[in-house]
Amino acid sequence: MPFLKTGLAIPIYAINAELEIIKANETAKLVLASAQTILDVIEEESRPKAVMNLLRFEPIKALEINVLSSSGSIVLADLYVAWSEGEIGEVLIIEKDKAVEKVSEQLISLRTRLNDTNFELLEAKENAEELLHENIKLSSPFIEVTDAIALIPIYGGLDQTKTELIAAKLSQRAFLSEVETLILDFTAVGHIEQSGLEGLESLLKVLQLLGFNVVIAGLHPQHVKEWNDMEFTLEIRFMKSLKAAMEKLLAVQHP
Amino acid sequence: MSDHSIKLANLLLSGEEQLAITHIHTVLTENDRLTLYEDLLTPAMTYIGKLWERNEITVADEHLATAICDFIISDFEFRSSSKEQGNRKKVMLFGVEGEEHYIGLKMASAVFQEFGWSVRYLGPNLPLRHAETAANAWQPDVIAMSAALSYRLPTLKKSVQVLSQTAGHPTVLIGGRMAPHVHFEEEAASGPGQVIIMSNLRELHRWLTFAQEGVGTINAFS
Repeated sequence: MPFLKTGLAIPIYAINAELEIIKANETAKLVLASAQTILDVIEEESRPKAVMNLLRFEPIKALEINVLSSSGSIVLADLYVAWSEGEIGEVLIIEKDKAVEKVSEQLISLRTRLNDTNFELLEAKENAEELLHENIKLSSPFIEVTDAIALIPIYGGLDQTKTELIAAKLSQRAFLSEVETLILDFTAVGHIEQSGLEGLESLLKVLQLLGFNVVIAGLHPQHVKEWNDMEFTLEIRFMKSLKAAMEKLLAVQHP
Repeated sequence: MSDHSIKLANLLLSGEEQLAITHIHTVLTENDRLTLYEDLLTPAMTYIGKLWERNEITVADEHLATAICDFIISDFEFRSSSKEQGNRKKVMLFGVEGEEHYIGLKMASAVFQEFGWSVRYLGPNLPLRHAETAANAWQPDVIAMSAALSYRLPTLKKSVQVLSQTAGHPTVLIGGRMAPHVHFEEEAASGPGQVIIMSNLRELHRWLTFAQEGVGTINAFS
């Protein structure tokens, strides 16, 4: 087989019907893994495909398989086979064009970057949620002004999540306290959402059931409008300002 | 192999992501993640592997189909907002070094999310030392790894050895095409029960259901 002596830069083998390598050209020895049978050159996952096609002993044109290089790396290649009458097969292994590999590597790196970004966003989101939670926890401090009166200034806008959290925290705290009157000060409250008002109503119900006198102070005109839109059945005392509320309550306590 | 999966495979191979999604909607009667992943997408991707073995498609076609499959999963997960909240158990998922198959991992991540787990999906081909650093820093309850190809076995064994010893003593789950053929009793630092083989997503789903109900013998939850 004279082709084996040429310096053609394509790995070429001659194999028998047992798929054993009879001869290999210099390029084959140099570029691909050292081998006893042609299957030794072929990567494990590609072997079933190669065997299935080789054992038909028919010509094979461009069978895509992964082969093993002399350094052990995996290389995508096309396999060509022609069988002579003496059951000798000539095998050519031609490495695939790198273009596909390049695009595929770019895709992988883009995907990795997307995943990393996704990850960073997720972490930022979790941080933000924690901060929000912390913020809500701090937005309704329970301050005992006298033995009988506690002041709860509420900060920021009110939505459902926030009123629920405030309600849970406040009812617990108030229950443990000796005071009789609670002043909820709305001076520092921004927008109250409908869902926030509903949560507020249930909070006030709970506080009344626990036996507290509840005073609402410092409502803005905008709050009053929102409050009025709701059918509020509870008996709550409203005071214009925190100052007014304190003066009145203290006067009752110390006439 | 159902006709639905074959049709889906052909749509994936032709890069028709919208038609593939439309096809999925006609087959899925409800928003059922397991049916989509186990009965439609996985058989479709397996069928695509077979087509390559028959030399009917190339690796390039496979890559395109994988990208479309990936898109379909992301799209489905984005639209199903039925994620439970509150279970703050942590899971870290990745493919071992050299392993580029990742669709299964992505599907598994979604199943964990369905159960309200906090999920860190680190993608395929993650060097062990990075996985180890992440595991020690974040201390997940579960580390899930996958390997598709038989010659990743030594890497997988080494990973089990190293990661089972990390700070949180996590339960290690092994998935992927190799999973049903492997045993890791010796590699687990805290004994054989620390490593669990998951052959498919339904098994994972069952395991998570048990874990949630507090039944079973899973050491991370005992």
